Amino acid sequence: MELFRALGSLVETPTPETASVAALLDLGPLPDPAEHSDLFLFQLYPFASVYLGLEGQLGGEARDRVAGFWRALDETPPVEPDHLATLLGLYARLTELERAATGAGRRSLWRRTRHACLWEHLASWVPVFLTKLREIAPPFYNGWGELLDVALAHEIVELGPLDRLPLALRVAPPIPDPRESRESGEFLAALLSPARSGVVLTRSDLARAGRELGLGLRVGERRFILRAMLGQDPVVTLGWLAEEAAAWADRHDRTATVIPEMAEFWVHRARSTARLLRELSGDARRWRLERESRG
Amino acid sequence: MDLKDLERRVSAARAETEARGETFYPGPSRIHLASFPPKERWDDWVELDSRAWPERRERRYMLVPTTCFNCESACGLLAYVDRDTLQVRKFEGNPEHPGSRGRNCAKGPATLNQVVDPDRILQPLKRAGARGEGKWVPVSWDEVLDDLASRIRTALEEGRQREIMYHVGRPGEDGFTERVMAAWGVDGHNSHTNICSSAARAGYQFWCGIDRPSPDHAHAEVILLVSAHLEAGHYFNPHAQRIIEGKTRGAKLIVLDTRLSNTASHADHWLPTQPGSEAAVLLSIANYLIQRDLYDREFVRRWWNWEEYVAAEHPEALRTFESFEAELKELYAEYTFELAARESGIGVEELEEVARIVSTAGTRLATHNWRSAAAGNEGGWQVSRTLFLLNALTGAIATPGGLYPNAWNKFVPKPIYLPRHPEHWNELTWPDEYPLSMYELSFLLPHMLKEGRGVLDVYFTRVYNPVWTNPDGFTWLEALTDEAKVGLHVALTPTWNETAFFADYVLPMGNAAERHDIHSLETHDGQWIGFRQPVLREARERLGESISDTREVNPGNIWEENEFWLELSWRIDPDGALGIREFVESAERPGERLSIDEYYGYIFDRSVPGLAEAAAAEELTPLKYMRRYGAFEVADSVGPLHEQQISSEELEDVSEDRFGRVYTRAPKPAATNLAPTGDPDPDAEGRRPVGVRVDGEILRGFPTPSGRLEFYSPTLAQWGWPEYSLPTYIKSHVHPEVLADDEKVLISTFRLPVQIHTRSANSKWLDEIAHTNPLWIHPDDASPLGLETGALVRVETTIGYFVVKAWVTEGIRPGVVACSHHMGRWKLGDEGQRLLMATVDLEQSDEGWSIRRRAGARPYDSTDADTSRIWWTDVGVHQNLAFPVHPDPISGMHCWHQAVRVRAARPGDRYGDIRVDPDKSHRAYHDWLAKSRSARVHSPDGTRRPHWLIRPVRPSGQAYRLDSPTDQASRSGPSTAS
Repeated sequence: MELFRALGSLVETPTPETASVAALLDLGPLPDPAEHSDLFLFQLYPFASVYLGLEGQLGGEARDRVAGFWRALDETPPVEPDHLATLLGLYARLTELERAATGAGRRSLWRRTRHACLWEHLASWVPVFLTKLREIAPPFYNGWGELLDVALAHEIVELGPLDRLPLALRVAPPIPDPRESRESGEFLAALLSPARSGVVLTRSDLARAGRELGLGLRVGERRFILRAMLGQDPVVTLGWLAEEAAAWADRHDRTATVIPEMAEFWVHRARSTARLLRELSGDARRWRLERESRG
Repeated sequence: MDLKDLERRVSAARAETEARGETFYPGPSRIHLASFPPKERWDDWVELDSRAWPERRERRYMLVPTTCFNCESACGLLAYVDRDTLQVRKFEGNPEHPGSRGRNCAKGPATLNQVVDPDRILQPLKRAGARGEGKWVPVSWDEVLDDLASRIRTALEEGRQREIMYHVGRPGEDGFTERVMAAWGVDGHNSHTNICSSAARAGYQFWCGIDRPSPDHAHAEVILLVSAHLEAGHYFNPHAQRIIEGKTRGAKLIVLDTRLSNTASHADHWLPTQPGSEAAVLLSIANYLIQRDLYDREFVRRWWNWEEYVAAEHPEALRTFESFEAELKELYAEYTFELAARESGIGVEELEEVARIVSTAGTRLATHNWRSAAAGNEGGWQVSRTLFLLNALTGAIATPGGLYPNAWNKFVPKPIYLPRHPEHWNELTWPDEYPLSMYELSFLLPHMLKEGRGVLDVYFTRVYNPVWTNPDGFTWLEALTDEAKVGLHVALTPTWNETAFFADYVLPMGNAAERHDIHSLETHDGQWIGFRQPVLREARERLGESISDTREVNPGNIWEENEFWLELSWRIDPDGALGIREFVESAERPGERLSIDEYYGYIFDRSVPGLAEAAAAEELTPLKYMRRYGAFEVADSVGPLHEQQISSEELEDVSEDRFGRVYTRAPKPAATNLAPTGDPDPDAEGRRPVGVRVDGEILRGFPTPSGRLEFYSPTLAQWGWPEYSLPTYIKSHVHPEVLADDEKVLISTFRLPVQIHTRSANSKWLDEIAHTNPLWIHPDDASPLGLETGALVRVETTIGYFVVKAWVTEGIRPGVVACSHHMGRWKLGDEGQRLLMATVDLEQSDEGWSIRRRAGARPYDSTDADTSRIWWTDVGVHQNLAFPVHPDPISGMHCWHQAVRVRAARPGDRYGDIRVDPDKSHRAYHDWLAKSRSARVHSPDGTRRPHWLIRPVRPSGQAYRLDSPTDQASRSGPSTAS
């Protein structure tokens, strides 16, 4: 399972030393570190908690859940247990332990552990992450993403699905209807939480929205940008978001070949989000018209 | 895309790379270790020069490992030696070091400050005026060595072995100077341990025969610390990182600390106990476990010496485990949470919750006490004894996540020579009044000299500063300035200090990057050795030079101690007539002095299991391997050695006592590990103890007289302290019952995370962070005195007072004040450190001694531009001068806590003022001496000390006897100190 470790090492900042790893995987010359920074530090954060957490942010319960998996293995969780490189390294280790185990009982135990790691902590979010990555990544990382996608799919096919959806997806509620609450913070957080909205929104997506909608783009974290855009023009912003969600439902639908159960969840999430956003956009339009008609 | 082919390709490449000893996933990666330079590139490592930014200027380095010399943790360092200038540019962590694992605290990188310190002593100096006058002349090493050798040789020839003493602060290599003393036939080793850790050691040693704990924090479920261990405790960095690992894995952290230390702030349960009440709290937890049958019955039955207890204390009773258990319940029934709450000031509910948490740990209970409460209180040794009781009850001894005896997690390799036991007993360091003292009664030395118990002809202080570090420093001054008491004082030191000012010779010694030592310490369940080396020597040897003396590469004329001691021994006995030369002579080249390379080459070739093979795999000699990597892991886990079965080869003509201790006539297998342990006595027929019978099997057991864990200590019972033979609570000398209404308890033992006694004062980075020691005082205590933060306070002890600034804080209990160690450094004139030393006037008058500050720190011009940027003037107050000596009557530990009166400063008081009445100091010495129980009255066998207890230099069996003829001869012999 050295392949997963090698793929994991390439999530880190490229250094001259990792060039040989990339060459072994036929990925071509290493990209400039700036490309790495733009992709993994500013657009797509390679952490499970960003995709599975309730707020779309690093850390929190989603990270604790991964740390708990390490503890269950009687291992000390690393500082960032949910980083993709760490998870791929862990998966590789579990596969090696399964292969090295003597006796069917122990081998079966390690296989179940490996299966749980794959299902709960990789398959639950990495395909979605890679879907977006392959749309925006420069060629080197596009090739890297394709290879990881294929390798993961191979593992998923080999081990098969588990009975239930991963816990992180089961416990993630859909995005709340902001009309039922005066607090818009949770709505925005949920929108930026892929497990809740079914949507992955990067900074570049928001920049694109600003350009397409003719809105000012304020510099800050994604929630801040989004709040500013909604403040400028909620009707078009919500409409744009609804279309993004619908597009994400189609994307999820296309990835259904490997894990239909998982894809179904994501499709459903994205469609629900799209539906809600359309309603909200419509409401916003009506309120605006009413306001305008009142003069 | 053929995944299998890719997998094969990457796996093969990794295997091939690692077979070459190289790193496959280098760089900052979560896959492999963090961002350490791969070891295969240590000969030529390229980094950008940060000072050249934004220009991208490359600098090429050789990375040479060594071991930090600041605290005792012996963490690994990597020196970045500039290949162009051959100067050390920085120190970082050594990822190959199994203890520190590439991590360091602030003190490690600050080694660089010590190397380039503009105030370094670069040349041997000889006193030119009166002692302490501050007049020095440079002398050659040859002159120093010849003078010392001649003087020591004369003393040895005249039978004045007791007049030679070596007094160590920060130890170097395990056992090195002890062996030098033994080679000279001198029982002259004197350590700082009785102002540091001997109380805690006593508690551990009486239990298990080994005097230090080795907790496995990383795998614990519950970590219980009686200390500020996360920030400044023993083995701070290696243990702190493992405590955090344990916490990350979900362990609960419980901290007993009167102060809100950084450690307390990380705790799940912080118990700010009344100083001295800690044993009561620990016993209430033990009682909870005992009364509810929450202890590990099988472990207790198998491994406690309960049968010996019953036989000694209840000879009429039935010797069944069940009856002992019933007795155990009675013994500890009084230690209720209510009692502990009264003593400690901690609430009953909090105590019960903590006890409940401890009860859930199973065998994963990691506990630690080293200084802290043990070092503060009379009877403090019972803190570690009652703490160990919790491990002994839960069976968390030598278990993953539990507590190991340190000697099992430490490896001391056998050197080329092991000298004989000296034939003499030094009563200045091991007085009859303290037969159970864990270490030398070092801090009583000036009082003993004062009352005529002996004199010193040659006195070495070695990286030690008793005038500043010890209590009652003025009495040290009196002794050191009296040439009739101390004939010649030689200060071996890497930096100026208050004691060196009063020396006859000041000899500059190397620090972490400038000397050789082997270290091994208990950082986890494993064994490793670390190698300290002069890094420029190794760097230049990598470039093809041959270096035979570290003075060739060290700054100025700075030497290393090992070469110094070898050379001095060689010159003391040039013809071998004194029997010393044979221990410092080359085996490879008879007639020549043992070289450093031969000394370490022997050890690494033959005495470290697995090292020769690891070196051969890299086509290196073992010595070259250690010079290249700086550390070697001897074992990655050791496990429960006490459960080892004794092989039949070791069982010959065995005898067994009634409690199952098994003795044999089979010779002891050659020891591979010389880590110090108890050395139980043979049986009456001379068979050596080999094991203990447990449930029919003969197992290795523990190095105690019984071979078991000694819940009941026959040693304490037989040597005059039967009332303390069990783990119990001794009310402290600062118990509230003995305090006057206007007295408070002063805590002075706590340390600052970035400073380390005398040695770090010359580290500008550290000094900028921490340079003062205000008095912690609770608002409830400050308010009646009208004190606000920054106000001057006079703190009155029983022998004098010191004036310090107040820091009003809720981080300390009401009724307790605290003032940290490390501060208050001073100098009399131009010599000395200017970063962290005040210049003072020292006066002796009819009223006693006094110190008044003339000037604090201030900017100055030097080779280091940063010294012109010193912004602080305050360097703290030397509080220890005003402390009387408080030797614990059993452990010999100085009990640091004391009752003081805190008052607003009087008119005329100035910051840093100190005044002490020496008569009161000496009276305090006698008051505490009166608490002791002398071997002359209580020895059960006519010896001075239980032979089985650890002793750094162990004299011959005959010298142990109170009536030994050598002792009588010495008492009546002449003194020639001048």
